[in-house]
Amino acid sequence: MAPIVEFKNISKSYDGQSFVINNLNLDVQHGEFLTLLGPSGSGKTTALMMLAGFEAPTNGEIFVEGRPYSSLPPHKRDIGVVFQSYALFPHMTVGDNIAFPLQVRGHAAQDIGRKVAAALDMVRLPGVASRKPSELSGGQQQRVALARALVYEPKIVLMDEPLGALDRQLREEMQMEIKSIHARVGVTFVYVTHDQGEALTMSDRVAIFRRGVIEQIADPQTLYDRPGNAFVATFIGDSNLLTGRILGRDASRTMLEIPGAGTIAASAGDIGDGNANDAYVAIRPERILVSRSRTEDVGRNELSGTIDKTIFFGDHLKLVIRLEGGQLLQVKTETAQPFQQGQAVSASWSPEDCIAFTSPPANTRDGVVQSLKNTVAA
Amino acid sequence: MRHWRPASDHAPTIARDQARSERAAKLRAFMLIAPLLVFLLVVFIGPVATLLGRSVDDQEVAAALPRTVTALSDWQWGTPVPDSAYKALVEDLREASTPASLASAAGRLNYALPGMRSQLMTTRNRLQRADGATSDFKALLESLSPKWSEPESWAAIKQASGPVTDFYLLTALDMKRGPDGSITSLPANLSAFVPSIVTTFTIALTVTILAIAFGFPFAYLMASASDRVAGILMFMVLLPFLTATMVRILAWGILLGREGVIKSGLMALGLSEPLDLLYNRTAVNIALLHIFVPYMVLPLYSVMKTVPQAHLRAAASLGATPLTVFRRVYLPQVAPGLAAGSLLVFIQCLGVFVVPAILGGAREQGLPVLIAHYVNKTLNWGLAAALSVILLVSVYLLYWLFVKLTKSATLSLGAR
Ligand SMILES: Nc1ncnc2c1ncn2[C@@H]1O[C@H](COP(=O)(O)OP(=O)(O)OP(=O)(O)O)[C@@H](O)[C@H]1O
Ligand SMILES: [Mg+2]
Repeated sequence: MAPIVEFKNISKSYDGQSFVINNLNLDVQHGEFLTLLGPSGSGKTTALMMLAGFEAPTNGEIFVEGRPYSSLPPHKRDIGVVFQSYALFPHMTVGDNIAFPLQVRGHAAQDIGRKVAAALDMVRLPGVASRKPSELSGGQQQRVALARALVYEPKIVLMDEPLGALDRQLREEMQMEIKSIHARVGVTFVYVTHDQGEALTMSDRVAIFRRGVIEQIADPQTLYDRPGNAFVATFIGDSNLLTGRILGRDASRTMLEIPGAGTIAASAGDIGDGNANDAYVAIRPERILVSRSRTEDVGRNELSGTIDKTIFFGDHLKLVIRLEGGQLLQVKTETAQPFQQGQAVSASWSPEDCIAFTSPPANTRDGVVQSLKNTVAA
Repeated sequence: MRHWRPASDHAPTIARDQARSERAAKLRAFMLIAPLLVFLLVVFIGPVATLLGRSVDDQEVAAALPRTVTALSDWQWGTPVPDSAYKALVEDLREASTPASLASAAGRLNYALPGMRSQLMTTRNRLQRADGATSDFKALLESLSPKWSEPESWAAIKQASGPVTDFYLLTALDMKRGPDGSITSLPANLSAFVPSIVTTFTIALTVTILAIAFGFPFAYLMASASDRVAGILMFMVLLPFLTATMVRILAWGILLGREGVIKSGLMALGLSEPLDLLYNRTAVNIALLHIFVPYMVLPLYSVMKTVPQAHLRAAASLGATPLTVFRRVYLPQVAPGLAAGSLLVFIQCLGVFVVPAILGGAREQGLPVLIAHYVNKTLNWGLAAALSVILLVSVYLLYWLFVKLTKSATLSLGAR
């Protein structure tokens, strides 16, 4: 089936000098839950506002169901928007807020009453129709905003960090709620967040934004296991990032030397046929095994080091290992590990679990610095 | 402790302690507001109460002619004036040792029945010169001034016998009591005050509407502009405040006057007959708009600033046309500011004195000008007070309407 939304070569500049969105191409499929994830200022809101019609693209065209949408005013787009601030109308009751989109569409009064009640049932808030929004808690207001954006059955629902203002527990509860509503109504959701956990739990697909371009778009599992570049690897979940030199490469494997520590094999990330020498190796902390002595398993990468720190997290233990050569490695293990600070250990992992990249994670060494900082701070 | 008491016995103690601490808190709060309360009582409530009193106060006649007032107390219009009244009046007038002691009573009676002042004064003077040896007081009075044979003179005294009267308030509304006590409106050609009231309210309403027409878009622009632009616009709004009102009014006078820039400009373009820009309604409206439009812009701006853009965007995304967004989402949220601005402009327009006096013609002279006239020129405090009461009452009615309509807590006395 053709995608419901297509961004075709979309660029956006607010100041006429720099592009906030740069030549964006993005397809949204019918009924999917797509999340735009990225650091602050990466252009997620701008992309969403262009789709909703509140900002006009500088270049390119947005198609919805094959129709060019760029010059269509917002009220004719049939796209529901849930704002971070909820944007409930304070002078109307909850019921009137939800009835608003039906009224402006000229629905009959008895239909409106029925649909408002059904929408409130859907978000599990029956019986608050006569209250003012200010009399509800943050989570309840969020549900009302959602009910209002869904009640007129729009083609697409956009949400810009709708849970940003809620505390953690409520946020997780609402994530489940939104997900289950999506499963029930089957409308296309485009969701913006800069919380990667939220993106991974809720989405069918996640688009990773960075400085106005999409770094990678894939389902959560792929993003986590097969990040396309070092930026995605460090942005999604925890990742160790070792720097090394490329010794040789074949079709699937890259051999690298980690200075002072030894050689390892890694699967190739964005390493093409280029002749760059420096590379970054990403390894997930939970994929590393730590032992007192070397295992000498030829199928695995194995580097030696000493325990720098052990940190207790309740459900797991974090070991920070200083490898020979000085680089730090974080390892997530079970809590019942008898390691002590200063102890000599061996860390091993499978070549499939580490990926080598040549493009730097953020601006030059930012990602390395950041991942090292994480290590030290933790 | 000698007696052990069950826990429930503590309850009255707790309640008493709490009541005491609440009383102390209330007392402290009262002490904090007391100075301002006293100040308000002295400078605001006191004078307003006095003013209200003045508009109904009517004690001059009873003070100067006590016997006459008593003698007339049982008299009904339509029956002959009792002989005792003639006798009492003669005694009262003989008692008045100087003309000054009768002056204020004579003035008061003259308002009600023109000619009464001289009638009373002449009678007194002649009475003081004549000898007192007579018992037919009726004949005596009628010989001194034939008007005493008309019952209207006596009705005027009876109606002015106080201690309170509706005379001034009725006069202010162009109504009067006939000698029989019935209230009638003056014919249109004689009405003096209602046209002024209408003028005052018409000007105030016109200027308020103009202020909304000019102020609303301006405030909207200001609220949606960047901080820098908003600052410049705000300065433009506040600029007039930095110039004395009188200077601005005179500047308008010069600008619109016979030799003024606008006039000569229009004439040079051949657009203008020697039409008068000064001394008419237009000049007054323009000057008042100029003076009062900031009072519209500022409250509007302050509420417009609080309406989040997300509300308007949400409404549009929900399918509302720009007009519907304005009518159903924007306007209700800025209504308190609109009402507050309108109220400020309207009420201030009701009280302007200088602008119509300088820039207006005869037909622009509203209530404040009349009030000033009665206070300064004729010393008719009762009538000036009655006209003020009309202003005051209409302002409070408007305020009440405002609170009713907007249910806004910002200007009402109650808490939200
Ligand atoms: N109305 C605007 N005028 C000028 N610049 C803007 C405007 N809106 C956004 N920008 C700029 O565009 C860039 C991208 O902003 P955008 O709001 O799309 O980021 P975002 O990904 O939503 O970030 P966040 O996670 O912080 O919400 C930022 O550098 C921002 O300063
Ligand atoms: Mg944003």
